[in-house]
Amino acid sequence: MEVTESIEGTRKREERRTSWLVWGGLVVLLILLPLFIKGPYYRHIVIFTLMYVVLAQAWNLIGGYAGQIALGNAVFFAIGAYTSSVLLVRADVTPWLGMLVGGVFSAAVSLALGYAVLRLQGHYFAMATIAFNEIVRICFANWRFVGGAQGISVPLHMGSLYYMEFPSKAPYYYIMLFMAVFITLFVYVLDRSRFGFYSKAIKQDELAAKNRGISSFRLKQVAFALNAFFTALVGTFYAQYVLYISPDSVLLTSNSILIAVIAIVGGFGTVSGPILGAVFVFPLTEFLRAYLGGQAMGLNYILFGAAAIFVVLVEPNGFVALVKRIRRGAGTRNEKERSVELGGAEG
Amino acid sequence: MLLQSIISGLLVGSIYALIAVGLTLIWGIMELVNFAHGSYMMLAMYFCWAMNMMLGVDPLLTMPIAAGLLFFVGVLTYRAIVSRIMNASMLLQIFTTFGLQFLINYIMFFIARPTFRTVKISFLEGTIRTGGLFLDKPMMVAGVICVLSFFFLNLFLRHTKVGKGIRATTDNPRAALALGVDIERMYAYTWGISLALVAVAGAVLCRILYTYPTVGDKFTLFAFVAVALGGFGSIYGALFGGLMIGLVETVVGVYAIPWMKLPAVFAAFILILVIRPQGLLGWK
Repeated sequence: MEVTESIEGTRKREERRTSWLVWGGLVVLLILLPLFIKGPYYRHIVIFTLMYVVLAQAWNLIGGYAGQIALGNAVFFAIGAYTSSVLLVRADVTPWLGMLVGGVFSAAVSLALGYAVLRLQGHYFAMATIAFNEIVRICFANWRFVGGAQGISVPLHMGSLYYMEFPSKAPYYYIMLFMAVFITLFVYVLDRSRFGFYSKAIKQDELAAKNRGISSFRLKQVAFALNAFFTALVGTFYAQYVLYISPDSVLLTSNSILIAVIAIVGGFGTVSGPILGAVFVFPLTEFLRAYLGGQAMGLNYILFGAAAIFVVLVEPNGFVALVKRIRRGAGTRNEKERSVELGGAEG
Repeated sequence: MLLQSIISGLLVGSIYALIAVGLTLIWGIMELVNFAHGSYMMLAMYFCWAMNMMLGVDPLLTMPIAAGLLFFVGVLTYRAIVSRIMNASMLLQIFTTFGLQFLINYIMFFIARPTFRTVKISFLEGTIRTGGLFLDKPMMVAGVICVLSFFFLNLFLRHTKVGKGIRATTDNPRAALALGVDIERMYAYTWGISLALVAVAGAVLCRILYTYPTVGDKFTLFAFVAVALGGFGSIYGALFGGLMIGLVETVVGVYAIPWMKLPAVFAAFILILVIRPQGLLGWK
């Protein structure tokens, strides 16, 4: 027994090393990517894909790890976008600071909201967050101070680091890449920390976990606040990148749902799921839309809907599980065992 | 002025109630929220609009056909999709119905374009003026039809074999199964009835509102609120909830700041969920 255990231990260590190599190689590749992708349109798609990676990864914290289906993330996104933009327009504060202020403010709002609604279970929580999203959207559309329905145009200061506006797309790309790598590492560390174990314990048996002294409510609050914080950072980035925000562009309930759909399609509650989801879903639908042009209005959303239903019916654990299943099916018996172990480690 | 807004509030509310009752039927029998509910209503609206445009028939006449069609769509939805996710986690159930919402909305968007469509009404139109009151005829027709639908739904559930089977399954599926009720069929019928009811609401609504691909989304949200007000799974609760929303919406719209009416309704919804998750009346 001891011998087999030590062999398995070495194998696991080997696998961990190869998986680090794969991840490291991926990051290096992504850093070099602007050398290969020159067209502004393609760069734009890559930037947006990374944006959805961060958004889906943030949602993964509340939806995947805390098991609460939050469908109001557009609110936190908008808080980030609006906070930095209002500070910039009215007080000339740099968006870099505005980003942090927006993130903290957004986390505070999520704590206040979460105090009331995180006690709700399942559907009730989902519905409450949708309703909250609608309340905020309508209020912002009628609130003069933040530009009402017209929204806010961010003043032009091209090529200024202070104003976070760059003449080319490359700096935006690297900001987003940094955020995507950061949040992925963050979730990875969290997955292996007490937070990750508690969340798994709660998901398996909430009552038993409670009896062991794990506070599921506090865990959910932490997850909700972290989700709100990261989502708001992306919101500020979006405002600086697109240079125009309005309730109809950043506060739509369908945006909230989209974020969650991407995480679910990829496989929620895992580190790599949201990445897969964003990479599979976003560029595909975007290219489709560009390729088919005006004839295909809304076709990308049809695809989203079909993907959501398909995933639920065929592989409820998302692309991550699908990829594993294919790999397992193709492999020899020995590899089958290995991929099972790997699956357990990635869990 | 107050009487006027109360009457129009109750009329609008009865439509909300009819939409909500389909939602509450499904919730009651299988604890599943159909986020695509309003999208199915939109389908019925488009059907009535298309019939109106091609044949010039009033939506009131095509209403039974729309209801019949949506009944089959409902049974089909249950058999093809919902029956497979009955035992799945709640998260996956939510995403299936969201997927349906996206799919239906944007298929319609693809086919019909995001143009606002209107129906040419051939009878029961215009307004009546009596004693300082303006009564919109299409609205009154809508109110009467919605209340009648509740009446017939009640008769159906109480006095027919299928209706009794549905109620038995709602109360206790296992006991119903033990007593020989084909609960799979009851689930399918419930989906059919739920969508037939929302088709009736759609038929009367397309005489009043513009028809466009995302017209149903707001009504789905309102139906949630109505269901939460009246208690999840309760049919009369849905009626009460729908009428309450209609009243609050018109009265707040007339006497307070107009744009506050929707946030007020939704804030009340969150408050009820937090304070009384079993619903304001709490029958279930």
